[in-house]
Amino acid sequence: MRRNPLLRLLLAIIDAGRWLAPASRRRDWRRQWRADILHEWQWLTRHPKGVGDRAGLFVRAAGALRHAFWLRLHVRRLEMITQDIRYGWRLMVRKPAFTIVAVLTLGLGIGANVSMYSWVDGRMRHLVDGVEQPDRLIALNGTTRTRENLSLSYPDFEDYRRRLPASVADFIVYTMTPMNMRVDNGEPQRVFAEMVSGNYFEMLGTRTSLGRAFRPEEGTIPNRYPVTVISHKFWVRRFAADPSVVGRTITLNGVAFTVIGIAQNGFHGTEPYLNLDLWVPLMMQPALGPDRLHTRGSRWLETIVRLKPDVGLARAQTDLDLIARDLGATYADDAGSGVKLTELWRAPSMGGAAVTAVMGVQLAVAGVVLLIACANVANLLLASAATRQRETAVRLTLGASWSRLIQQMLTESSLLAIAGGIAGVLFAWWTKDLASLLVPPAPLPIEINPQVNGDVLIFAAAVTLLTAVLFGLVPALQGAASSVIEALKESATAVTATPRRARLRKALVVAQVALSLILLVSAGLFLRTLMNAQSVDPGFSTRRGLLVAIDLQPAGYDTAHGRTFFRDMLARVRESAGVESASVAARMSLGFGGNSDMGAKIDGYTPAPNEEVSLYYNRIGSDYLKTLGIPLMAGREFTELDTAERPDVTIVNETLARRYFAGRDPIGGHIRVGPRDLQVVGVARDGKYSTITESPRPYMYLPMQQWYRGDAVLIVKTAGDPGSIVPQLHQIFRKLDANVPLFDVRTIAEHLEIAVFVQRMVASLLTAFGALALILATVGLYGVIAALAAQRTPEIGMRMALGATRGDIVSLILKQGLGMTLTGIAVGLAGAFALTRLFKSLLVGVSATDGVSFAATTLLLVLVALAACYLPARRASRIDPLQALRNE
Amino acid sequence: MPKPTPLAFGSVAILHAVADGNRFGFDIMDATGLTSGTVYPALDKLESMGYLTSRWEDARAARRDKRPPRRYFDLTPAGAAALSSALQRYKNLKPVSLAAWRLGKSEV
Repeated sequence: MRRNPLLRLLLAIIDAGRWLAPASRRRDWRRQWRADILHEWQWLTRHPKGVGDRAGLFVRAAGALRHAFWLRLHVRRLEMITQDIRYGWRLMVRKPAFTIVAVLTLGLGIGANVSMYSWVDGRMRHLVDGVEQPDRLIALNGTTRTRENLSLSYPDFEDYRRRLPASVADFIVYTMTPMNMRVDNGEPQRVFAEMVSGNYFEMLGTRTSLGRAFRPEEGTIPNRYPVTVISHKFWVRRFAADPSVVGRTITLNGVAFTVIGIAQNGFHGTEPYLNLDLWVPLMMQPALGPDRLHTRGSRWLETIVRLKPDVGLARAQTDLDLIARDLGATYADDAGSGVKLTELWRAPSMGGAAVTAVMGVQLAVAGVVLLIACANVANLLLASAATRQRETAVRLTLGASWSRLIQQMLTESSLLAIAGGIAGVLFAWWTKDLASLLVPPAPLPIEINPQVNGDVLIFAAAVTLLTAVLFGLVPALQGAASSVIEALKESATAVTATPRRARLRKALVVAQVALSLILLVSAGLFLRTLMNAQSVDPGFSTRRGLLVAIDLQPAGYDTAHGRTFFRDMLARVRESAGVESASVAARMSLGFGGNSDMGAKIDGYTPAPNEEVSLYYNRIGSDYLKTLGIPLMAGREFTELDTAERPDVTIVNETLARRYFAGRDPIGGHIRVGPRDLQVVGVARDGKYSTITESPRPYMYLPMQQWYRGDAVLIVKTAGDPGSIVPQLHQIFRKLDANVPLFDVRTIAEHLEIAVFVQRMVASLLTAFGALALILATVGLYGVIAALAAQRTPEIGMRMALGATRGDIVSLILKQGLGMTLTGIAVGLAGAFALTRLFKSLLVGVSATDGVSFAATTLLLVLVALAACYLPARRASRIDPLQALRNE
Repeated sequence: MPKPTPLAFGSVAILHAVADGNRFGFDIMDATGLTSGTVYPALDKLESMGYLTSRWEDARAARRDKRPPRRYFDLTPAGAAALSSALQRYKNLKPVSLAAWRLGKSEV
């Protein structure tokens, strides 16, 4: 068919226009437009009316040129990404070893961060779970001139709530208290309860899955409504999720309570990391112990405030300050005291600064591991870039732009990063249960339960992106920096490696070695700390002994009967076989839980104008010092004769004697506590009371008989195995009173483990991460040395041809590796020297620049580096010179 | 990757035209009243977004008509979903009375 000249012109335009279209689309573009134009032409030809519209086809053909031009501008975006992904995927599949190493390395780095972040996320955002808008909840503490972490009294709470400022939606108060629970006269069981204000559930926005929460009147009338809400977990664990539990009666500390509801699943109360079993209204407190509801000076309740929406912490603080000033002017007990709002995650009642500091260390360490992982993969990519140099050069000469090549390299690194990110999340998922290994051996329902939730996944994605840029950009920019001609001239088998690329790769290895050294030095310091902490003198020498918690309160003892019980019980325990000595104390040193202190006046000591004399103390029975092996420096120990009827006496420690009785004999001195006048009868040696790292502090002991408390720790020093006397103890208690259970039985050695818990936790974390870093750095060093040696094959061949021995070659390669290692060690030592000071406060008996840790770590790294270099060195020395030179 | 951002009117019109049975570039131009310089790039873009797929016409049918096979477009399920949500958006616009505007009374 002879074509119309007009049509031929149109087709010629399309033929010519195809050069406007990008190469990849040229053929399809031309085919599409030719077909469409021919079809349209036929249609117009067949319809006589359409003949006149033929000119219109030219207008449409003009659109074809615009289409072609548009494709040229946009086809990159349309096609290249998929093309790059496909290409990157092919590369990954073609080099499985490279891919596996890179993905595993990134997975470990990202996984470390994800799992550490899941902990931090748990603390920052899920401290109080199962409530409405937890971000509006703020902790409130009482303050005095010198302290900011006090609790609140119930009358104060009522006053604050009555004067509720506009910025605050509501207040709740609560306190955790262990209780003895009996169901249907069964064995008594220890449960962990919170006594809470009546508005507790309502303010938190927590519902019950069964039954109901507290009614307003249950929170206002004392002793009228013995009701309790039990936690979901406790319901499942203790009552096998039996719905008929609601309405049943259980006995708590001897008082019958009616179960009115099951809290919704996921709500575990307002104690950090604890799973509480049940909640009772604070109004029932007087039925369970000496009435504390009506004493304004009795600060015993933790407080949480819910801010109104869109109200900042500062405004609420200002509002509350006004009320505090008002209350201080009204009530003598509140004079000079105020309140302080703190975000939950750093609130004193939630573990405070120490936990936050440990988390900071965790995140920093994980970050360092990630940096090492990135350096490692960057190095691997550089190595593969070296072998792909020809490909790059060819593509450049064929017209690819540098930005195009960088885009492609970043796509490849993103692919690796995404695979690494997935591996990382899997690692974090698998290891999340390891957190429970770090739970301290305390007699509490502790649960550290990091979740891999949505927030954590978002974090993982962000870290993945960051790593893709971190390790992908280095080789990309490195490639972009060299010129086409240079790239073409160079070949993968050049006699010497490209100096610039080699320099960069060496720098990366140096950085890796330096970073792992910092981690290892830190791990070393904490391992030494752990060893030291375990051997720190806690101030008492008894190691063979037993600690048993008892609580007379729930069994219905009043003060007089309690005193008698303690006296009789101690007498019987001391008589039994295998017991060397026995005593009681309100609390055991170095346990969890804070120390109590109280304001005191010391005769003959004038405090400085702004000084508050506040003394830490413990209530102890007779023979306490003897039982625990605390040396008595002067005077006497408490005896059975220091009863409530006798004059008040006290034993002080050396630091107290030195500070407040300077130059005087403390024995016979007087300390006044409130209305009571205590005579100092003895001086005991200093010890550690709260933590193993504390510095000596003034401390006094008060006789348990004069300062009675129903809950105490029975301390038994045994001649032989402490565990063997447990049955005897049970027998003694059953004979004395079957209603008094023994709980939390442990040996003194076990108890001392708690004291080093923080050190142990940090040491194990750092050791794990240090080992991880060492492995990564070793792999990195090995990879670089192997690649450099491979690149030097012709050179080595030539050297051998010229007479070099195998030993020469081995030492040549080893020297190169050792040079990098030593540089890295030098940098790392400097860094460690600067950084380890930051956690000085966590170290025990070892300086932040401890020579042993530094030296041992350095030695370890050198040895590992030598091993990593030896394999490639040996391989290089086995090169056949003929083969090597023939390749050239 | 399909973008979640709402489609421009032109893209909606093109998807609508394809859904209505206009499968070739020129038919779509006629159906939408858009120029070829708009329609053809938009078709490529919609294809890259996953809203359209394109195929070459069966070669035998084309040969019968003595012309080369043309490229024709199909709606994908994603495209159908995008189109229906876009149409819904237009449908949701509140009806307004335009009488006053036509009379020019708004310029008081």
